[in-house]
Amino acid sequence: MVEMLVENMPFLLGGAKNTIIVSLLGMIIAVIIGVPVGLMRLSKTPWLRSSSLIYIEIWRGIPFIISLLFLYFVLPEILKLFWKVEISQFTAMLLTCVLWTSANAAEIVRGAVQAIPFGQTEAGLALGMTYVQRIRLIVLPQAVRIMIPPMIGLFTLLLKGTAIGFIIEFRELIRVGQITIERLIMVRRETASIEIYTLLMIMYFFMCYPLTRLSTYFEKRLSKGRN
Amino acid sequence: MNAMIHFIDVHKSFGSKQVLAGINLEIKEREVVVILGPSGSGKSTMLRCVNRLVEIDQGDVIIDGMSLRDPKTNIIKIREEVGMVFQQFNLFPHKTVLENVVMAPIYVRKMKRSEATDVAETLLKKVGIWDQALKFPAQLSGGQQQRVAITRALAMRPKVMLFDEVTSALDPEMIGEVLDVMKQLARESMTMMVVTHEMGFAREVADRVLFIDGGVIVEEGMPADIFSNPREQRTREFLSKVL
Repeated sequence: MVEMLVENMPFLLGGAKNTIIVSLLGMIIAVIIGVPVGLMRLSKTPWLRSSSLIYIEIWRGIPFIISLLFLYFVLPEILKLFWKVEISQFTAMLLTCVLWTSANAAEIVRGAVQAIPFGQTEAGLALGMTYVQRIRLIVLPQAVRIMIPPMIGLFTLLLKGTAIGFIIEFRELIRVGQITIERLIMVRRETASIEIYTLLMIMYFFMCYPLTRLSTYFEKRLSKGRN
Repeated sequence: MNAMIHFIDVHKSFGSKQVLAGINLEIKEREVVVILGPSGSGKSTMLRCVNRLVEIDQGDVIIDGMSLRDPKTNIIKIREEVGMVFQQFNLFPHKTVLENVVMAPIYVRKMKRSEATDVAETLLKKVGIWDQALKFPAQLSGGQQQRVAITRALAMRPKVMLFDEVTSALDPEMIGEVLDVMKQLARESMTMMVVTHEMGFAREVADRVLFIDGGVIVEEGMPADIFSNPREQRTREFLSKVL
């Protein structure tokens, strides 16, 4: 059994790599989108506020799996009417990650910015700072400290959530595990689902556990640094 | 002398509550005006109108020739000339004392960092905090923090300073050190609007004292006259409670 697992490890690690790549890339893009969307949510301009609210509510209100199926199976049919494009499994997966995560990241940004006392904004205003200067120099640097633990939590959810990618045959960790099991049955007549699924569970745990530790570490540091 | 700040029939309501009900006031250059009044009388709102932290509903305020209501006025220009110090200090907790002081000169006044640091050094030495310049606000006492906040406003080289109950959040033993800085500033001929409950300060430093209640100026005059000889019943009642 050990031999079988060692033999298939590189293939499984390849799946883990895809899981990590798509989550990490998705997270980075989601934060880049989430910051402005979260700030728009707090804007005084009604159309900015409502458009960000619509964006957030749509992508938070739709199950991950539905947007994935939609992006992979439905969207290409629509796009086909206008252009000749294809949507790969990776693209559909990444896009789903970005949409769901950015909507949630925007809410984290909004909450963190709201937690900064209004006196900070007033001080910036009184000193003649513009909106962009206040956000960049005063509000965001303080809000980031508050955002880090929930953002790590969100990333953990995303990382585990990508497991659903198996449904469109995106080669993340689960899909690669399934392929391994099928291959072993077909080629060697070996049933290995118990071993492989247990291994996958352990692998997921070791990907997520450091993240939860990191989040706890930042939370502790944050509460210490508070005056 | 020119009016540095000119309130013309200023009205302001929050919802259905009228806070300022027609303020008319001229503050001359180099004048120190202390504003007294019961809580909720509109003192803070009046200060906040000057740099448009509060937007007025009616009337106008002219600051050094710039009209608040004139759409051509750039509010940033007004704020560059009007320094403000708050009750709760509102220092930037993620920045050192020095960074708190040089930030606006660098980003708003577009000073070079070296030049802004020179300004900060001179001012921080004057208020006795230069040796703490690399500490964070949370490492300082309340009195020290408020002196930094005054320095931060002064580093912009404003023409007017607004003080909004700047000693109210301080422990009693720290009030003196902050008032001393303000007295020094008054001696150096800064134009100042001061909302305070420190009657000793008002008596000693003010050129003029205003008593505000219900959003209007009830009485104004030289501190000696207001304190020893108030004309209005409401002023008498208020002073008898606080003195």
